[in-house]
Amino acid sequence: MKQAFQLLPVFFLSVISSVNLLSAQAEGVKDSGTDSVGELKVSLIFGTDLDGDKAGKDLKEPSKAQLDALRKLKKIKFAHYRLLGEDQQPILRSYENWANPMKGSKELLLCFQPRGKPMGDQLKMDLEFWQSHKKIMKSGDTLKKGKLLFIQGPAWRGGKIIIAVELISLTQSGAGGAAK
Amino acid sequence: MNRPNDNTLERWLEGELEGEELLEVDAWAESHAGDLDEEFKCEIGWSALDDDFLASLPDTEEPPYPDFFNSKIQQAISEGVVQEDVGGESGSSLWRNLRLVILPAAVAAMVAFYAGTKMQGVDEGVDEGVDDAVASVENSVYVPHSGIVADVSESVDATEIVLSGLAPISDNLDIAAGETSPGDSPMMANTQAEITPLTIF
Repeated sequence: MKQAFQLLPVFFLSVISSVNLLSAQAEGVKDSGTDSVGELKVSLIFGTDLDGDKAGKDLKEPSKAQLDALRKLKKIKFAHYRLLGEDQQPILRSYENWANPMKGSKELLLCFQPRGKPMGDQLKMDLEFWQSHKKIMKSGDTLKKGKLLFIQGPAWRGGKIIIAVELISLTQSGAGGAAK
Repeated sequence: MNRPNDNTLERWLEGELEGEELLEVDAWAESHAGDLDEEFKCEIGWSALDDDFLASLPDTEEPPYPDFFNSKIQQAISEGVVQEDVGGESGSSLWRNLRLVILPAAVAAMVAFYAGTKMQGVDEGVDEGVDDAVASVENSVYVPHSGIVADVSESVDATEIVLSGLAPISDNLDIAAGETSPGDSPMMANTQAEITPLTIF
């Protein structure tokens, strides 16, 4: 019995050492789900056949590449376009990602999550369009670099809100930084 | 000792002798065992049996086996007929009903499995050479709210999804200036719930 009490300090020291070791290992383990498999750019564009300045006087037009793509669309056609905001986010492998093109407003959001590994220059993704805190649409699109996805959303100030989704880059390994 | 008379032997067999008379007959029987077996045993046997025992036996009795087996055969036949009737009617009708459900379901499952393997093959084979037709097949749009319609169209350069039936954003809401309609943001709820670091101690 006396020997058992003498061994108690040794036992506690062993327990404390094990706990420290486990904690160190837990801190060292990196969550692979946070690895980026690429980058996605989401732009919010106001399209109207009336006055584009109704969205705001200081707003600029979208980039030339975006305007060229917009001009080629068959169903979404407007005379004037204004860029309301844009957000470029890494695509985390195993987490829901949120793009908030208008930093101050959360009225229009896009949630995206990859479905599998990138294949070449394509990535299959789940996309959710949220308006006024409600999920409006969900799509399982295969996004391809150089091919934009345009979603024509709700009406606003005599025009329509357009969400432009562009796959900027992909990493083939699905780990590490995005290779552009 | 000479051979005991029949009456003495009969009493000896029935255990009625005593004393010296018993000893004498025992000694004789021991020295004449062969004689006892061959000459006297059978003759004495039946008559030595108890009359009550013999009287209890019936004169003749037919073995019970024919009736027993006949009754069992009849019982088995009757039970077998009943079971066959019951099982035949319920089983056949049940199978007939299930067959109408199971067979198409099995065929559908096989077709779905085959289609799934083919579709999986398409997914795995997606590469730079995949054309837009395949990509358009992969695209699927779901709108949870009634009254909202999604019109999807594909081209080489872009994919268009036109949503109609959406509630318009109030013109008074200046989203360009960062305004948001009242309510809880789904982004905050989801990110806080999902990106929770693993903590040990």
